[in-house]
Amino acid sequence: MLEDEHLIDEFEKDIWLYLDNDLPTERMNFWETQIQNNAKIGQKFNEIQRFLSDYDNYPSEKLESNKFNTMILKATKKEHLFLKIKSIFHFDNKSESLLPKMAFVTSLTIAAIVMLLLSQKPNPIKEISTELFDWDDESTTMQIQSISNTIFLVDNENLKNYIIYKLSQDEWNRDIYNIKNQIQNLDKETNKTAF
Amino acid sequence: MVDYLESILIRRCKDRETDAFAPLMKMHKEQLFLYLVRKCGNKEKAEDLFQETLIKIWKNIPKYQEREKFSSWIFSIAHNVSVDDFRKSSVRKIITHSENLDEITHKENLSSEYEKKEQLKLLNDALSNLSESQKEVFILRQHGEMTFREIAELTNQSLNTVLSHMNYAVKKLKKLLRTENVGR
Repeated sequence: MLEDEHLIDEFEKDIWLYLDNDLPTERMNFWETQIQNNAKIGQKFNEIQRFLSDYDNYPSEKLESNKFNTMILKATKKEHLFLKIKSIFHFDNKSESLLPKMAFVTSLTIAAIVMLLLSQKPNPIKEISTELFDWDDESTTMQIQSISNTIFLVDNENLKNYIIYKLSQDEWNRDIYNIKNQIQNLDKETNKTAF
Repeated sequence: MVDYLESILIRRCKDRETDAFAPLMKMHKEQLFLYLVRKCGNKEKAEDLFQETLIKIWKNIPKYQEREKFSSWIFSIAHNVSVDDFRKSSVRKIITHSENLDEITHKENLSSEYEKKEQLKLLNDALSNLSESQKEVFILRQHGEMTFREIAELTNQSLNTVLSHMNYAVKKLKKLLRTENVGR
């Protein structure tokens, strides 16, 4: 009795692999003999088989053909579009004609050029040309002239007077300086004419 | 013969011949759809999942390895689609057909339809009483034409765990369906 129960437990573990034919040959043969000769094992096996069969006989939901066809079309939609393009241009390996292929490539090239022209990317050449337009010859010449005048003034004696006057705002000092300069000049002149 | 035809259709699908896809899927349509109906317990939802599955099959068929059983491959895709959908919906609805049943009158010409719907309700209720793992193993085995080893591989479980799920599922369903039938 206990032996039978133990065997049934074993069979419950093995039955699914037995149905899958996924047990070692020895084990398969063992259960085959048991199913045929052991009433309890045979009954267990039939119960399971009957249950699975009853389950399969439950009414099943069906997918309507038109729905199925629509779903298939949807799943392969991209491919259909590609095939249409292919058929328009006769892109067939067997086809010898180059004209449709050339037409396709040309249209792609034109599209690419149009896209390029319509794009809003900044143009570096335009920026350079703007700089060139900004060049002002007259003002540059004036600036150079102004620098030249300044250099000349720095070298002029009158500038010293002007600077003293500007810095000190003192006419007395300026006059003294002038007299001193004139004395020095006279002194130089006298030295030149001396024997 | 069927395998030969199937392999020709697969090869054509790999070459992106759209005409071959419908006949190929027709060979597995009923079981695949039924698997999804049993899985989500609702025909409309199953149709959405079936569409998603078809899209993924068509997209990935060039990657399909011929050494693998095609039916197992498409059922593994359907399984993944339904698992993804299950994850997306935070609350799982246990679907009953009670609303539909209310609409059905007792007219004689509708009695068989009524019986069919009632039986489907019983089955869906019984299946919804299983744990998700038990149900998955059971319906993959019944509709997915998969061996238990393949199911174990697909669901990332050990073979023993899968067999144990199957045992519990069958015991529970036997009990539930017998009780329901006795009650009627």
